[in-house]
Amino acid sequence: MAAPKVAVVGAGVIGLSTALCITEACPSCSVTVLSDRFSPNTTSDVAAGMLIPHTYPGTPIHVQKQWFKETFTYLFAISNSAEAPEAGIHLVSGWQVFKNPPKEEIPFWSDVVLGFRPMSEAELQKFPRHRFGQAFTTLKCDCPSYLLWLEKRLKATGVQMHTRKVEDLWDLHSEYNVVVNCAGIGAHQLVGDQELFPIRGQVLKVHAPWVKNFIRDGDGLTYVYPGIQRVTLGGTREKDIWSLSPDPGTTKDIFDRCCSLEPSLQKAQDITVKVGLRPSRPSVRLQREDFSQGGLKLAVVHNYGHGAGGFSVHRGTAKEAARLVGECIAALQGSSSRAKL
Amino acid sequence: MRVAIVGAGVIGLSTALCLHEQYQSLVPSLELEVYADHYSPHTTSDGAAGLWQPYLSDHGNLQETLWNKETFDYLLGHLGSPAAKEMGLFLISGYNLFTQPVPDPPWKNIVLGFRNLTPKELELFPGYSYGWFNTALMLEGRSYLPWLTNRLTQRGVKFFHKKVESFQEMFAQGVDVVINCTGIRAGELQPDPELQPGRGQIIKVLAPWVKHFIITHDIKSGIYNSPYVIPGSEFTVLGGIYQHGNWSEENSAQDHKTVWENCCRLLPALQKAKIVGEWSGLRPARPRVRLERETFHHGQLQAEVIHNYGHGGFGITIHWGCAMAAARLFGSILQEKKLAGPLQPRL
Repeated sequence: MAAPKVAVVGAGVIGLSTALCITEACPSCSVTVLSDRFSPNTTSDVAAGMLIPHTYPGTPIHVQKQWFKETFTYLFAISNSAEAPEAGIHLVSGWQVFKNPPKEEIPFWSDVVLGFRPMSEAELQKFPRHRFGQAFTTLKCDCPSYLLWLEKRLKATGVQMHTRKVEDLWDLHSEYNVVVNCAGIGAHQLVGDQELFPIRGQVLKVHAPWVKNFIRDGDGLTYVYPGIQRVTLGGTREKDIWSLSPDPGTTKDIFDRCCSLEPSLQKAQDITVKVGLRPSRPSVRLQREDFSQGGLKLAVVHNYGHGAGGFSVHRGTAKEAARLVGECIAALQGSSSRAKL
Repeated sequence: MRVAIVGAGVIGLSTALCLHEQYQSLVPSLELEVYADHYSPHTTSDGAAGLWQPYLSDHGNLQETLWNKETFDYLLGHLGSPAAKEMGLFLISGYNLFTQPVPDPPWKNIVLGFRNLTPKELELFPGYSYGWFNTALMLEGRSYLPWLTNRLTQRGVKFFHKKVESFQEMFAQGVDVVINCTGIRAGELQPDPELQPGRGQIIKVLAPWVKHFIITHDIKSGIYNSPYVIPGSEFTVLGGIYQHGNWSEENSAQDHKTVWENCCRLLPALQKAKIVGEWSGLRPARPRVRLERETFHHGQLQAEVIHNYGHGGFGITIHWGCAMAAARLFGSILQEKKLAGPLQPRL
């Protein structure tokens, strides 16, 4: 078989990191990224990119932990290098605070992040409405920068990127041997996945450069995440809402909630509002599927449905997807050599 | 009663505010004046990064540790107030790094969340095998000094742009108490061989991805002579120079090279940082802070000086505790004058 042709559908963090892992695992593959949207117009561009995992009820914890650990290790190395500013990766310390102590005081990822420990009484005094907290240091991805950095690295290895809306994966069968479906929320329409649904998130990006620590309410609804140029204030979790238009009432509500966690935010400037649809699913769909129609075949690898946890597990799932692509290629080469007999 | 504060760095202005807050209502005749030849942004306090952190050891000087604690608690109390941003006050977390284990510092329970570094964290800093993590405060001089000035102006304190040549000059004008907050140049008002410059040089860069302070320590080379990185609200300060006895306020190319190379080795990402400024300043170093009264006899009159200088590289860290202590000394002066009868009339 000539150099296997792989198409990756989707150019958010999952699509781009998966394409990169495929080039690393299969240097002889020809990889093309196809998407109707590229940065800065993907869901990933809206996300704050904090490495704090979301728990998928349908995926074994040890698998989620492995994905998170791989992602953390990968980004940790970048954050410590001269590439860090361009890639948009940096360390940030802070607190996750709870009004009521959580069921699990020590989450599965506590030994992956740095310096995890319960907050002291003195630290909790800063949050009078909260009775319990966790202090740790983790990584943050400045999403638009990271996506551009991934694109740059992909282009350097010869990966082509095309703006194209793929209506049906089968449309690609004559041009590609393997298609990797990283369409995120787009998979709802693309492959008709009924288990995939949006959880709408509205966030504010503000100028408040004196905020150096993150603060997250354990309920996941209110958070302050300082990035390189802007601080992300969040947020909302609105299930099954598809609207991408910012809601002004929500903006005020987010601002008020964040100011109650961090009063100095009252002086934040330059407030912009963004909306993203978390591509949510009980578990990440990370599996092969063999399409066939009339004797013709198309090997597909799905890698979508990361919901609120895309950045936290992206590299781990990308590596697994690349491994599955390798399996598809081996199967195709096996069957093509069988065909020669 | 006329009180002149000489010096408008963090020590002078905060002492003025503390005095006014405590005594204005008790002493209706109190007139406070500030005299200085340099105001913000041209004071030593303006050049400092503004990180609250005392030296590693207080050398048994418990009083200074208490003043540091008073300052930290006072600032912590202001964190949630609407004034915080204008004051240049915010929380910041970060690292202190060592090449060998060291005893915990006297301020470990003053800062928030003090703990040792884990092995994984130490991987970030090759060459360092031990360290601390804690959350402390930043108080940026170039915001805090204008904020203090505004508070003082609102309270009717008068400012004079003038170099005071002697205490006598003030007394001759009718000043009853001089508060000497002249920092590194206190020796010009009264010789003090114990006061020496601890020259520092810093590079200001844009590196907004740095969210932690990183202070390295080399027991051999001494405090501040090892690289440090302190992210502020508008730029990040790179430093690591402490030259005892060097009075030069000119930037040195050699020191620039030392700071730049050492900080880039510590944080490789800094190579991409844009340099936006450079500054040299003289830390007013002294074996201990001079915070005491001195009585002068000016003709028939008794005049007082309260000295409050020699805060080295920890002026911002200790300022409020010292201001309160100076205010207490002022209180004892008032008590004595009351005991001596009404204030002596000016002849």
